[in-house]
Amino acid sequence: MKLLLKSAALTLLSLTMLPAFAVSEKSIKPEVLLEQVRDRDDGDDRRSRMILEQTMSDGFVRERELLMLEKKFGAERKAVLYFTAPADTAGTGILMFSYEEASGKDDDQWLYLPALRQSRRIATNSKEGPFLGTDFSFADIERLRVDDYLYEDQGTVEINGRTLHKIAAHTANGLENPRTGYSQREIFVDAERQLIMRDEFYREGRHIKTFEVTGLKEIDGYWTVTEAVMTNHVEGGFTRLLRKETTYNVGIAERLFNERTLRSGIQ
Amino acid sequence: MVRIQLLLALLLVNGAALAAPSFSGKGHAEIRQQERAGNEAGDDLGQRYEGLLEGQINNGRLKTNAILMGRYRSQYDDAEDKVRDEMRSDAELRELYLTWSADRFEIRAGKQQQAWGRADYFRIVDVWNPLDLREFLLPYFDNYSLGRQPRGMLITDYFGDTWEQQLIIAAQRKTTRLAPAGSDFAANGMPATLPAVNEEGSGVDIGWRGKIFWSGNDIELYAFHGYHADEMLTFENAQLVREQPERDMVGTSLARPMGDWVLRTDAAHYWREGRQTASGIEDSSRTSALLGFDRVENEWTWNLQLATTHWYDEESNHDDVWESSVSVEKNWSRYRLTTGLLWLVNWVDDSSQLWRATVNYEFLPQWKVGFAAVAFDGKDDTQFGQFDNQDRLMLTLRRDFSL
Repeated sequence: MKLLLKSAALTLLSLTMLPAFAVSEKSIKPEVLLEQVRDRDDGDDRRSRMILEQTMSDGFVRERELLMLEKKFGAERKAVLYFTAPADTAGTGILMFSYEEASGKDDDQWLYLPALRQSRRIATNSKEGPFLGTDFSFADIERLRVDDYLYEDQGTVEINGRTLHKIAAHTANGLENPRTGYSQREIFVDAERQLIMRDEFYREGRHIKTFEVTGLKEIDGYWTVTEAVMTNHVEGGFTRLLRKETTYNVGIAERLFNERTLRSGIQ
Repeated sequence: MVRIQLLLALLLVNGAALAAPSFSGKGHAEIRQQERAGNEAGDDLGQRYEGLLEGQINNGRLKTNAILMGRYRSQYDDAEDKVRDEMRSDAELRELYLTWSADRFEIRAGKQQQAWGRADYFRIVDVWNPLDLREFLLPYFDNYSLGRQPRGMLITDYFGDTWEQQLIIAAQRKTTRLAPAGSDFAANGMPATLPAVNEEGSGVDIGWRGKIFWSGNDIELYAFHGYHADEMLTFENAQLVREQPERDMVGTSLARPMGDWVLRTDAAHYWREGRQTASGIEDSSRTSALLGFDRVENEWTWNLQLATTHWYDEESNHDDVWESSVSVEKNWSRYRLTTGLLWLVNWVDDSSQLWRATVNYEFLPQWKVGFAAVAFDGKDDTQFGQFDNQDRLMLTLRRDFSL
C-alpha cells in the first residue's frame, strides 16, 4: 500500500499536464513546437475531478478518483491531488512543485499517507515506474521536458479530421533515457490547439505503449483533454484518464498549495 | 476548559453560517485468523475481528472528524477477569475533533492525534500520542495511526509566507497502554496488579513546531514541555505508585531528496527525561537521533533507518541504545499483489530482532486477502527477545468501503 500511494503521488500531477501541452505555430522546428506545448496557456489555475480507470489484461478493472488543483506561480507550477475513492486510497494526497525546465531543478513532491498521519518527501529522479500501478508512468504525467530527446520533423498526418505534426524523438545515444525509461517516441501534435494528441513510446526499438487523446472539449476558452487512454502493448491492458468538472481561473488560493491541504483534503 | 468550550461554540456558529454541510466517510471490516508458528506452546490465538468507520462533515470553514472502531479477540474469551477485560474487545470513539480554517490559521480541538518527526517505528520526536502496545506493534505495521492513542488536544497552526508554526496544548493525560500480565505481549516483569496512579504533579503538555521549506529541504524545529508517555513506578509516602515523569525536549527534522533516494533525519535532546530504575524514577537526560533513506523505483520501495539514543545518567550501564530497520516492499500491480519484508533490530547490551513477511492480494475491488508471518529473536531480557515464543502466522480478509 505504501508503494501504491507513493506511486499515486508522483503520477497524478503530471497526468493533467500531459494533455495540456500547447503549440501555436505551423512549420516550425519540432523543439519550438514542443516548447510551446510545454508552455501552453492553461489559465492561472484549474480545478478538476479526475478518474483513473485501469483495465488489466485479465479484465480486472480498478478505478481511482481524485480532486486536483493546479496553479501557476510565475514559471513554477504547483498542484495538489487528493484521492476521494476508492476507500483504501481515499485521504491520500500529493503536493507537487514543478519548476521551469531551464532551471534544471527536479520537481519537489510530497505524499500524505493517512495511515501515518504524516507527509513524506518523494524523490523524483527516476520516473520510469508505473503511476499508481496504472499504464501511465511517472514520466508520462510530468510536465513535458523538451531537452530529454532530439527531434526530427516528419511532416503532417490526418487523424480524426485534424492535421497533426508528426515528430520523431530519440535520445542522443540511442539508449533509454534513465529518467523516463524511453529511448524513442513518435509524437503527434495538434499545433493549432497546442496539444499532444498521440504519443508512441519505444524502448530498445520495441513499441511498448501508446497514449491517445480520445476526448477533447473547449472549457472556459481552453482546449481541455477530457479523456485519454494509455495502452500497454507489453503487459496488455489499458488505462483511461477522465477529467470531469473542470473549471479555469477560479482564483484558487495560494495557501492551498502546501502540506496542510494534504492533511485536510480538498472539498 | 470554559474558554475552550466557548471557543468551540464560536467556531460552530461561524461554520454553520457559511455553507450547507457535506459528508464523506469510509471504513473497513477485517477478520484475521492467527496461528502460532512452529512448536510454540500457548493458547489458541483464534480470530481477531476489527471494524472501523471514519467520517467527516464539512460545513464551510468548519469540519468535524470522527473515527469509531471496534475489535474482538476470541483468544481471550476464557482468560482471567482482568486479562479478558483488557484484551477481549474494544469499542471506542477513537477521534472526534473540530477544525476551523481561515486563510492563515487553522485550529483543531478535540480528541485527535498529531504526528511529529519523520521516523517510522522509532519515536524520536513523536511525543504527543502514547502507543497502545497490548498486541505489541503487530496490528499497526500497516496503519500506524491506529497504534497511537488519540487524546484531547488544542492545536493551532499559523501558515506564514516562510514559516509554518504550530502550537499544541494537551490537557488530557494519556499513558502508554501495556499488555496486562498473562497476555501474549506482557512485558517481562509486568506485575499482575499495578499500583495506584499518583495524582500529584499532573499538568498539561505544551509544544511548538516551526516548519520551513528552504532550498529544497524540509526543516522542522520542535520544543516540548510536558510528561512522559510511559507510567513508571516510584515511591510516594513509602507507597509504590505509578507516575508519568516530566520531560522537556528540543528537536529538529530534515528531509531532502538525494538522487534516487530521500534522506530524512530526526534529532532530539531531552534535557529532562525520567528513567525507570530499581529504586524508582531517575531524573536523566538523553539525546536521540535517526538517519533514514527511502527509495521508490519501479514499484519497489526501500526504507532504511538507523537510530541511536545516548543516556547521560551515571547509574545505569545501559547508556546507549541502537535501533535499525530495513523495509522492502514490492508492488506487483499487474498481479494485484504486494509483498513486503520488514526487519527491526534493537541493541542494548544484546541485540534482538523482529522479522515480518507479508503477501497481500486484491482478489476483487476493495477486497484483500493477506498472509503475514512474524518472528521474534533474542535473549529473554531484550526488547524483541522477550516475545521469542510469540512467533505467529496470520491470514487476514479485509473489505474497504465508502459511506
